[in-house]
Amino acid sequence: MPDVAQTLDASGLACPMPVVRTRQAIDQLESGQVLEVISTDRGSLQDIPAWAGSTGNRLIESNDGGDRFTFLIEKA
Amino acid sequence: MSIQIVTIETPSLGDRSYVAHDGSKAVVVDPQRDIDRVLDVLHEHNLDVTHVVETHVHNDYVTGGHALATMLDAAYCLNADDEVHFDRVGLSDGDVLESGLMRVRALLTPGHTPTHLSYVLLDAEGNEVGVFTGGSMLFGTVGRPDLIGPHMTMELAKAQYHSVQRIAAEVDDAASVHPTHGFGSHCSATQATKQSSTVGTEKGDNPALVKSEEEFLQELIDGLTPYPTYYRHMAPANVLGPEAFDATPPEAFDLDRVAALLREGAWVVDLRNRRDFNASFLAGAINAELRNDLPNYLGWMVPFEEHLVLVGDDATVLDEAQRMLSRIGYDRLQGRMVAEAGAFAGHELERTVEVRNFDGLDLVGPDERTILDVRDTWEYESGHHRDAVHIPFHELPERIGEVPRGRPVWIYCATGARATIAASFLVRSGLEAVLIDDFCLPGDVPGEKAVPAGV
Repeated sequence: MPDVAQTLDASGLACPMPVVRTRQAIDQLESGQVLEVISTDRGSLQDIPAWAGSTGNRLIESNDGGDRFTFLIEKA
Repeated sequence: MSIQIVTIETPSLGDRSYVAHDGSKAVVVDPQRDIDRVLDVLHEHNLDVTHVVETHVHNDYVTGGHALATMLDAAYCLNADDEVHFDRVGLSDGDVLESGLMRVRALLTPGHTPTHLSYVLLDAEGNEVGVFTGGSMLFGTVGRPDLIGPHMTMELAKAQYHSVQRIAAEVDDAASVHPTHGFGSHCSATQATKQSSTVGTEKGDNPALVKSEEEFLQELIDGLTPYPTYYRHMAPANVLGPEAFDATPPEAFDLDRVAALLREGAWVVDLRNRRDFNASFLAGAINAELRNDLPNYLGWMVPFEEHLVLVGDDATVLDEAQRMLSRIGYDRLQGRMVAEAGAFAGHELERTVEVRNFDGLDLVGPDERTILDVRDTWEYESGHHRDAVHIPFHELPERIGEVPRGRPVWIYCATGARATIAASFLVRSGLEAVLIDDFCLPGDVPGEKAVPAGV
């Protein structure tokens, strides 16, 4: 498992806020650092990988915990 | 055994319900309609429910309280001033309920509704261990005061300020706070970001406790966002004592049956993901992916009284959607259909919608398309495509006539979730849609001829 530079807990937030907060958090990181995102919004399973893909940041991992979803994103 | 509080989350509505127990006796707070989830908790801990209590007559979901209390022969408790059409225990400020080693004290906290109650939970020694705050004190925010009606909003907002102050003044700092709303719920004035809190913690950051009344009211009223139209049907349903969620699937329909109903104007909700849907769907179907926001967004788009048909790519998705929709009273399902890949290929009603990103707009001239932004006003105002027509998602049903006809309508939102539903709604309304499956987050200005925020 890669070193996580920062964890963003977006639990309880509804679309589009998990993606909005993810972008804010990524903006604060250096290239190569890894952000962990926790969300309870099922839509994040679709939105966060798609957002990472569209911005060139690398989605390392995406976990479907049923009602809790976690992601690891490496900043480009 | 010390007193325990079990939280039951309903992320699709941004709500929480609670079971407080002493290891033997239990009190249930604000249960959702699918009471099987509460029964699972009771069974797991081997609990006997003495009381089911409501903090208020809910505006965002159909309660399971009446059904649960009836089934378990427990006392069903609401504010005595709530006018309901069933027998219940009517509570007043200061009333105390006894449940095993627990005591529960009602605290009148109007604001979210005029008769809202909070409940202070005490242990056998009289320590205040927690407070169930419903739609009053939320985590770092408060319940919205505008759900009863515009004529009441200011009065309720003022009441809310004093109610949250009252909780802070009268309940022990160490007591944990257990709100019903605020976890993505539109009943919350803003979105809460904490997962747990105490009265003492709220004293440091709840707006009703750190701001002047004037400042609080200004920010609360200015910050109010739209809420789903289905809300207005919830309180009338809840005062009738609604039945519990029924998980029995509706009749299985085949393609011909679904197509025939669509021709008659039936509301068919297709739950498949946006790529699969837009590659092949039946004209008139609404595409609503199985996301947390499904009840809210569908509750904005589909008339409440309609008898729906659900379409999905497997039974699990259909079951889950049935449960989510039942929680907001959309329980008049006439049938459902499992759509295998290619199910609609070649059918007379088969339609497709082009799925593009913002770059795709470069290939069409400004007079060959309409661009439609369906985000909320605050999102639109933070930055938008220069040529965009703005109709917030929730206003689309009544403002569909304002969308120019005769050329394709390119639709976008922040993540594609609302745009997906809106695109299918446009097709149902006889327009040609192109789905921009792309991101336009607050502050973004998509398109070459972009304008900065504030223009």
